[in-house]
Order: sequence, then C-alpha cells, then structure tokens
Amino acid sequence: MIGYIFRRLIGAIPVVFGITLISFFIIRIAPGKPTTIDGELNPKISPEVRQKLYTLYGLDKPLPIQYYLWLKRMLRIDFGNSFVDGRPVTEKILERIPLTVGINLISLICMFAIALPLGICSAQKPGGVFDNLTTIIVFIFFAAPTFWIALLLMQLICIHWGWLPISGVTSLDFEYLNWWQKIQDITRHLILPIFVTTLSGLAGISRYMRSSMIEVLNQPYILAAKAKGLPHKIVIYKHALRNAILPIVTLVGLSIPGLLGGSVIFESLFALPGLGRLFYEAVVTRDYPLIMAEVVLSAVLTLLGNLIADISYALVDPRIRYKK
Amino acid sequence: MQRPLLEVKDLAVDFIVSGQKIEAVKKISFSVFAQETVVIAGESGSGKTVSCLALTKLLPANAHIRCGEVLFRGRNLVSFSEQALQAIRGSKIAYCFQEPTSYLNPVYTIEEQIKEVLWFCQHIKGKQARNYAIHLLEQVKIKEPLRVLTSYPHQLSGGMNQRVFLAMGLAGRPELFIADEPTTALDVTIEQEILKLLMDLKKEYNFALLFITHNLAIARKIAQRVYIMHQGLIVEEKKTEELFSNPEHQHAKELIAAYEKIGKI
Repeated sequence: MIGYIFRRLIGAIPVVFGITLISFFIIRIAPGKPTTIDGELNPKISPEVRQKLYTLYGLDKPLPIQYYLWLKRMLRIDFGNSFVDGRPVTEKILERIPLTVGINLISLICMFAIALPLGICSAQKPGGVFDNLTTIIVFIFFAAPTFWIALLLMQLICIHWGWLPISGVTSLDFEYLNWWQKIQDITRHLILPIFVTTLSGLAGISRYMRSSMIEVLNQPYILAAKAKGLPHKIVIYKHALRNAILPIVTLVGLSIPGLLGGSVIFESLFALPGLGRLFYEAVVTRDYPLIMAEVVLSAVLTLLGNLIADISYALVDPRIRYKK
Repeated sequence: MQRPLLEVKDLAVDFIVSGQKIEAVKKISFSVFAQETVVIAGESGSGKTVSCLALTKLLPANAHIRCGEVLFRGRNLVSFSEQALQAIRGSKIAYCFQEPTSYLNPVYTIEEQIKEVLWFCQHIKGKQARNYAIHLLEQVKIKEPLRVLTSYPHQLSGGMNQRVFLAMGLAGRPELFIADEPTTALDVTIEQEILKLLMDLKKEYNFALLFITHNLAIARKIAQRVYIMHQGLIVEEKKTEELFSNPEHQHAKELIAAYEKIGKI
C-alpha cells in the first residue's frame, strides 16, 4: 500500500508540471496584459515608460524564459508577488483560506449528513411517498439559482425578521467582544451562507446515494442475506449500506479540490472575503503570479483528492485491495 | 398417515410488470415430508424459483402471493409477519442458490457471513462461533478451513463458494433445505462433488431437501419424488422411477425424451 501511494505521488509530479505548462501559455494567449490599463490604454505614457513597466513585471523576456523563471521560484514554494498590490501571493491566498475552506467544509459535512440518510430512506421504497416528496424538495433547491434562494432568505430572515446579520463575517463592534461573543458573532454571520450552500448540494448526493442503494438492494447477496434469516435492519445497514457506500467514498475524495473553490456571485452577495473573488479579480486584472498559484493549488488538490479517493476505495472494498 | 413437513396448497404468485399482471405461478400444490428429497423440475421460466422464494415470502417488490397456503409443520407461513418469518428463514428453512459467488456479500469475509447466521439463528458468538464455523467448513469438505474463513468470496472458486453456502445453510440447523439449481453454474466434475456432498450432509443432518433443477439426470439420481413444472403449473407428480418408466403429461414426456436423447450421445 505504501509503495502504491509512493508510486502515485511520483506519477503526479509530471502531471502537475504539464498542467502548469499548459495554463501558463493559455493565460498568455488571452487578450490583455497586466499593463493594459496603465500602459497601452494610457495615451500620456511614453514608449520608454511602457518598456520599463514590462521590465518591472518581467514581461520583456521571451515566454519560455518567463516560464523557466517562474518554475524555478515555484519549486521553492515562492509564487512571487501580486502585480496588483505587490504583496506576496502566498500571503494573499493564505489569509482567505480559513473562511472559504471553513464554509465549504462545514457545508460539505452538512450535505453528506443530510443527503445520505435521505438517499437511503428513499431507496427503501422507490416511488413511494417519502421518495417522491424528497425528490421534489431537493430538486427545487438544486434547480433554483443559489443566489436567488440566498436573496429570498436574506429578505425574509435578515430584513423581515431581523434574526441574522445580512452580510460580512463580523459585526462592526467585533474587536470589543470577548472570545465567546466573537465565536457567536462569526457563527451568526455564517449560518446563512452555509445553509444555502448545503441546500444546493443535497440533490446530487442524495440521488447518488439513492440510486446506489437501489442497485445494491437488487443484488443477489441481499436476497441471500434475507434468506439467511437476518433482521431487516442488518440486511439494510450491514449488507446493503456497506456496498452502496462504495461509490460515495469516491465522491468524498473528489470533493476535496472543491473545498478551495468559492462562487464569485455567492461571495459578493454575502460580502465574504473568499477565494472565489480573489481569483476572479486576479483573472480580470491579469495578475499572472496569483493566477498561476491558483492553478498549481487546484491541480495539486485535484490529484490529491483522486489519490485519497482511490486509497479509501481500496480500504473499503476488499475486491480492489487484493488486486496486486 | 404422517403429515408432511411442508405442504403447499393452491399457491399463486402474480408479478406486476409495467402495469400488466403476469401470473408466474398458477395455483400449485406440493408437499415435502421430513427427511425426503423432492425435486421440482422444469424448463427455465416455468416458475420454479418464484415458487420457492414465495415459500418464505422472499419475493421481489413487484410480486405478491395472490392466494394459497404454505403450511410448514401445520402453520401457514403466508399469514406470518416479516419478523416471524425471520425466525423461520435460516433456522427452519435454509436456501442455497445458483451462482454462489454473486449470492455472497463481496465486502465481508466468509467468517463474518457464517458467524452472523450462527448468531441470529443459534445465538452463538465469539470464539465459540469461530470454532463452529471451522467445524462447518470441515463438514462441507473444505480442506483449508482457516484460509477459507479469512477469505472474501471473490478469492474463492464457484464450487468453493457453494460449499461455503452449504456450510452457511447448516449453521442454522434447518429442517428443510431448499436448493435452487445449486450446481447449474458449476462445471460438471464440481457438480458431481457438490451433489454427493449435499446428499451426505442430508444423511448426517436429517433435513428434508427440496431441489430445483432443469436437469432430469440429477432428478433421477437424488429424488424420491419429482414434480414437473410447466408454465406456472405443476403438470405431473410421481415417484422418480414411475416418472421415468411411465410419464403421463405431454411436457413430462418431452423432457424425458430430451434427457434420453442426451444419454445416447
């Protein structure tokens, strides 16, 4: 197993390089440069100053050299400074990680905690009242745009009833609160974003669980388990669930890169300083170092997620574990 | 006269397939006496398997018992609740199936799957259950019981898994063993071994055997009485020798003619 993980990690290295190589060049094909606003579009600027700007950003060298220089720095985990405000990219990303990862992680846990039981119960009687009811509800939340649901809830809960703060992460008087009040304050701000994110994700996971469970319940070994005289609960929760959960394990692994993703619309709506807006702004301003850091981060996380999915799959499914 | 162990009266099973009712089993009656070996023979699709599953209400969701009685030791299983049936399945009536590997749960070891029968049917657990499981595997002539015990079904051959299934059946100490084409998916040499094993076990454990097959050669070899099933009906019931010497129903004659033709090849 350890040998397998090691081989997979080694194998991932060229993939990461390939991804960075391709994205490095693709982003340069896109029209516009970091210097467009101050340089090309500014009629007052002289060609000499424009050249100075290029040199400042390191854009005067040929592309392959630029890539080589970037790669050399990257290997020392140095992603350079942002073109926009000159701060280290790593610092800009790190300061936004707790909020985005926090919201995504809690939502993901809530999604699975609610969707899996829903799926299991639905599968007991496909087409039954419970199944149809949950199907309708989860698909309403799935089909309706998240921002619209968020707006409706904000209108109702935050404005009409005034139960929760409408946006941001902290209140104005945050600095004067003690630690316990601080926790309460942050929680009150984040309830709504987490709730809305969770709702929109329920449909996918519960449907996945439902279909997996239905498939397993039709397997011969479930009939055999019943024929052995085992109680209904043992048949469902021991024999069926253990098999039905296998594809879900993969789903968890594949959700890992999504932990860093943030929706721009969503973050703007709730005024959350998250990664989604950071990367969106980086792309708009052609902030190359920040864009590349984001690419590397998501590439690494995606590969890591796949690896974790495969490992955990092998751990829960003996048929894969023993294939040498 | 002695009462039969199992007496099925006018059992009918309907399937609902895309809104249409299909009569899979049309009012059949048969009986199995204690320690007897009875074969239900018939071509595929004649309703043999469905009849057997209906005995302890193991039918799929789109099937139901329209009418009839299943009297096991005089008690009508059709009227039993699901919970009451759980006490019958495994401990009174055990099953084994075609394609044993797909009827064993792929994610649990053989040990786990035998031990749960021991626990739910006989309340044996822990070290005692493990020893009992080893004993059962020895009973079904498995040479390395310890290795098999810790194996998963996919690591064993089909014949080996069928032995495991028989051991699992024995674990509940049943009075009636229902074997639904247990050798059809196996190759011929293994088939002979499993059949012999089944008959040896029957002698030792004194259960009655209800054997389903489409293979009349097997029927002739093991059965005391044979029922011929055709299109959801039992068309003939005879003692084995009588059936082969003097078949009455047209379908029984055809089956025997086919069997004899194969014998000549």
